[in-house]
Amino acid sequence: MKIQLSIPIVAGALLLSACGGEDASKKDQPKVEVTVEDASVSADDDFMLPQPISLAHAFKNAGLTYVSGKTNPISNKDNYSKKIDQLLNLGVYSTDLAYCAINNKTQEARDYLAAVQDLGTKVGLESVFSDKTLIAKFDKNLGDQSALEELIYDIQDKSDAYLHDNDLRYLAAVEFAGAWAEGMYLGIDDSRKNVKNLSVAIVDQMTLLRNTIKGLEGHPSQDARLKSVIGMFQDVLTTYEGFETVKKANKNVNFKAPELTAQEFDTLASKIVSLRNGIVSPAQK
Amino acid sequence: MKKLFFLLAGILVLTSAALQQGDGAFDAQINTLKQECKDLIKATRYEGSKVTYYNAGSKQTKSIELFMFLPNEYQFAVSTKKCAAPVTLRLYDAAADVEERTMIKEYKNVQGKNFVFNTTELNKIYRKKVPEVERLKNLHIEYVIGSGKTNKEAIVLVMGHKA
Repeated sequence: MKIQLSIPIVAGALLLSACGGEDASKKDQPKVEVTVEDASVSADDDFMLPQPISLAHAFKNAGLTYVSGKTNPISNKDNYSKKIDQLLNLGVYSTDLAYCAINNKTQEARDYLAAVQDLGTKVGLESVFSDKTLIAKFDKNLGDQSALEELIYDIQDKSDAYLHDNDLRYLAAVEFAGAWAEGMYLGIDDSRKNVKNLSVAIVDQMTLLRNTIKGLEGHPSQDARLKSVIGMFQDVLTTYEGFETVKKANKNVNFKAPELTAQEFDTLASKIVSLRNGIVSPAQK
Repeated sequence: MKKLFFLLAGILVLTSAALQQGDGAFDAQINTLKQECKDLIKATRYEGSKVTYYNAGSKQTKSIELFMFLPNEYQFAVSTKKCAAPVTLRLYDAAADVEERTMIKEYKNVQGKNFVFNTTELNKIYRKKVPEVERLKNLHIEYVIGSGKTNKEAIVLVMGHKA
């Protein structure tokens, strides 16, 4: 929300004359219109995005199985030099962490937790991720899948609180975008084995894309890399919304989801793979 | 003339500071309410929270879109303790621009308190109203804020789901 402040220069002029400044007749005094962004007032239409681990669970419920080697290799984490890429891949690794944890791949999950800690610290979330006891807590719960999941939800809670308290929620939107892309990539890749159920989960999660883009557009620094990332997400959305089955479907997403044709599904899969690869392997300049 | 510019800049800084005045105490109260909401649904896994800030005075509507992809029960805790203006909550199955959306439930005049609701009760009501749906995956909460004394106010929403 914006507040318009009209500050008549007369106020300044009066003070100036008291300080021996030049005289000004009231008649000639223009008004200075200043627009102050009132960041403390929320948008009229807002949204809350789910946790990456909940998205991973939704895919698992639909039949997604763990496939070794599909996640973003941890060795890639040092390739991300730009803040935007670090944030996006913090999201990617958060999904990979969730994907491993819910599939009981505890050693892999432990490695991704360390990667999340490392990237989280790099993007300025030290107070959340510098907790040296995180790995120890994780180790203590090895073998207890439910406790590991609780720990992941707890990290997300702390991260949200920190971002909210420091007016940094726009960072969470970028992180979510990476998490969403990775989840969709893992889901769509595995869906060929279980088209019926997984394609429903994929179409469900496509409903997050419009808000994901809104979140990215809300980032105050719209640099070239971010604009290019938004373009990639927008491309997936435009493609999806151009499908005949989607155009015919009820706009109320609580109703039956559109059943994509095989060709539509392949086109979407190709767009998702390209988006995900554009995030995990940004052109290093 | 230089002096005039410096003076104007000073006025702007002071005005901006005045707009932000008291935010620290306000934010601390909001954090307390958020914790109260978390405590109300502490048997759930944290899914997210949203604080909706507004300047009370004239009648206005704010909406939040939520997603529930898991079949588990989702619980919602709302705090309107920082609201003096009348607040009504309306829960819809779609955004305002979707024709024939259904209002699932309405909570009238809920300002000044904490309360909870969950998808088990909402799904029961929703299936009665719209038998062809299985369950709510997408919920739109509308805060209808009535006119009142000019003041900075906020509504806190915390969402979680059962394991």
